[in-house]
Amino acid sequence: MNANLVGPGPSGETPVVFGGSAAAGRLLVPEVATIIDIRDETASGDVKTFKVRMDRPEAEEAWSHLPGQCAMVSVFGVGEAMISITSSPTRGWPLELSIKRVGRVTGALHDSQAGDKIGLRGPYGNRFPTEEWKGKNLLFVAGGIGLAPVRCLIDYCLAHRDQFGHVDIVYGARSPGDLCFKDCIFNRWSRQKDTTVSLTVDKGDETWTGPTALVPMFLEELGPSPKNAVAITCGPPIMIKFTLQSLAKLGFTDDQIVTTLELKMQCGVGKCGRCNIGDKYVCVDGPVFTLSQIKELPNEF
Amino acid sequence: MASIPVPKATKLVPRTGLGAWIRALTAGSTVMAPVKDEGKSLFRELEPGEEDLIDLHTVHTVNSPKGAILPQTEALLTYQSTTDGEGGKSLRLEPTAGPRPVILFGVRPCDAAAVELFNNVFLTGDFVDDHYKSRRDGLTVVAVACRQPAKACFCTAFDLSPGGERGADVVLYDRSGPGRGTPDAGSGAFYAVAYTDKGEALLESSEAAAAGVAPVPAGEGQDLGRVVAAYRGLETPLGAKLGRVDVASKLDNLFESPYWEKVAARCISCGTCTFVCPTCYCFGVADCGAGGGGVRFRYWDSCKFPQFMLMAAGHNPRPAKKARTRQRFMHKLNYYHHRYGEYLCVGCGRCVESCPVGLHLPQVVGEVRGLEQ
Repeated sequence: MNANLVGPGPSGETPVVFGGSAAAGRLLVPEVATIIDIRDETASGDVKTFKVRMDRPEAEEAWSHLPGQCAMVSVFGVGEAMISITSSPTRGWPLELSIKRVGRVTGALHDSQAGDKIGLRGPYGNRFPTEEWKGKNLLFVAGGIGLAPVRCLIDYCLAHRDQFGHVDIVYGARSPGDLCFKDCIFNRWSRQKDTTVSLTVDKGDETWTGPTALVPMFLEELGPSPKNAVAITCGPPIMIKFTLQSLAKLGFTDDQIVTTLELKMQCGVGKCGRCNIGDKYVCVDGPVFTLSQIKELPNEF
Repeated sequence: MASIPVPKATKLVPRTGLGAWIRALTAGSTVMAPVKDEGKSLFRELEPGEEDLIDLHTVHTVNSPKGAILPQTEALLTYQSTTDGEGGKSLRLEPTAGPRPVILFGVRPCDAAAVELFNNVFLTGDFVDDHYKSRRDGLTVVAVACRQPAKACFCTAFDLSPGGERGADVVLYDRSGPGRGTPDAGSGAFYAVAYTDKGEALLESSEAAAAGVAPVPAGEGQDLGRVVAAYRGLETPLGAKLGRVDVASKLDNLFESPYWEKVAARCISCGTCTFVCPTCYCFGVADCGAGGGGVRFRYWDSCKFPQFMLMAAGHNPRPAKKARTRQRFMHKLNYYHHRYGEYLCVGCGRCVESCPVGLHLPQVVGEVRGLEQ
């Protein structure tokens, strides 16, 4: 009789027994992984990028993520948190996770050293719909640590450069010291074909001769065209709120705007009942949503 | 009404044989049953020799039997970190061993149906929760039909019934049929109807035969049919008042209603409703341990608690009681319905009986019906 217990779900999809943790074969049991490098992203050290590898080669082989997806990262004895994956799948292992120190798990990660063991499971969530963007101009608008999930996407798109039109990257942070991924923004990305990187800070200092403006205002000054374009935005809630208004002023429709959400999660696989907005779970139905999708949801995030 | 499945087996269980049958069941499985414990009827694991404490008369155990498939705390894995002489780190993760099979004995049809609602969450979608699945696979449910539904019962508002078989492998129907009073413990019998292969195996086993589980006497088949139909046709007191619950689509447009403020004003955020509810499944995950080793476990959590969605950086999408109260009722009556095509409630009535301020689901359904859209 147990056959009917794993029969097709009400929406008709066939359930798949998750094979990501093959050794354990258990959904909520992570793979053991090792931190192999830790790099400060910001002057204050509040954002660090962790390079990690899974200890079992078969587990690394079985892993495949796409831009927008996340991983559950464990520090045993402290807890587990959902973290966006910063490195593009086109770059392979090690995986990079850029993490701001905000609470217990992120604090414990910041206090750890290369060689320390962590748990890793995933990848989880949907992804940016890059196949729908073929031939379009891409506008990336990010603030602060919000560049972390977008960096994965930018690298992925640049690795498939011929599929897209012009690539515009607009990035801002509170201060020059708070700009993350300096190698990407100052060197790597702007050297790519038909790609521009525009940077701003809220407040400059003696090292900064660039623009000082909040991201939404800066974006309006740059005035990118909505024609045949998609805008992808990620950042702190207040930045997102005003960036959406600026994009609307520039003529971007809700279907042309894509963002990625985060909420508290405990399982990451749509079971624990934690990260819902209305009937959608950010962990499995998100984190990537278009603005039109978001406007269908109750205003509770 | 959903169609009634064809029984796989029918038997007669004399009331005097129940103890021996349950004793036989305990030999191979953990048996959980409603037990009279210091005046209260609790669903808990049966200790050897406690067969006589089984309480098949009280309609509502204080707690639901959901702990059999989602324990209040459940170890997921153990971890052990070590550092060798050269400072090399290692981490060992051991998933917890599979659970012992459990027989839920004497479950009410509402609670049996609730198990199926958990299946929607834990066994469908892209991910199968294998901790849950191993418990569910090892579970056998022996339900007992309700002779006289309690005042707070409203399973019939969800197309369930006091004689329903949803989620049950076997249903026991007291041969004397629905009615008032307590049948004499020393006489009478139950019709035992198996609706699944698992239930059939349970009734056809040699242990069952040895305990006096016998074929239904020839010529009594019609009586059996009549008795079962009587249980299935039984109305519930609150269900009769409430009628069929029909508010899912109306709630689509009521997220912003000031009504939720009014409901929340009464709630004291104690979380009792979520803990006694057979269909509330939301859980948290935490670690417990020191000195490099410990256990990761999940535990029943409650959307009524302010910390439920509090994020590390301080943001809380549901900072107000209004939002948390709305979440629980919207989850049961709208969100879950959108996702799985049915309500996340079986009308057991525990929230009606347990809420210290008298705020419960049937009341909200009634009030929502009266709201302007």
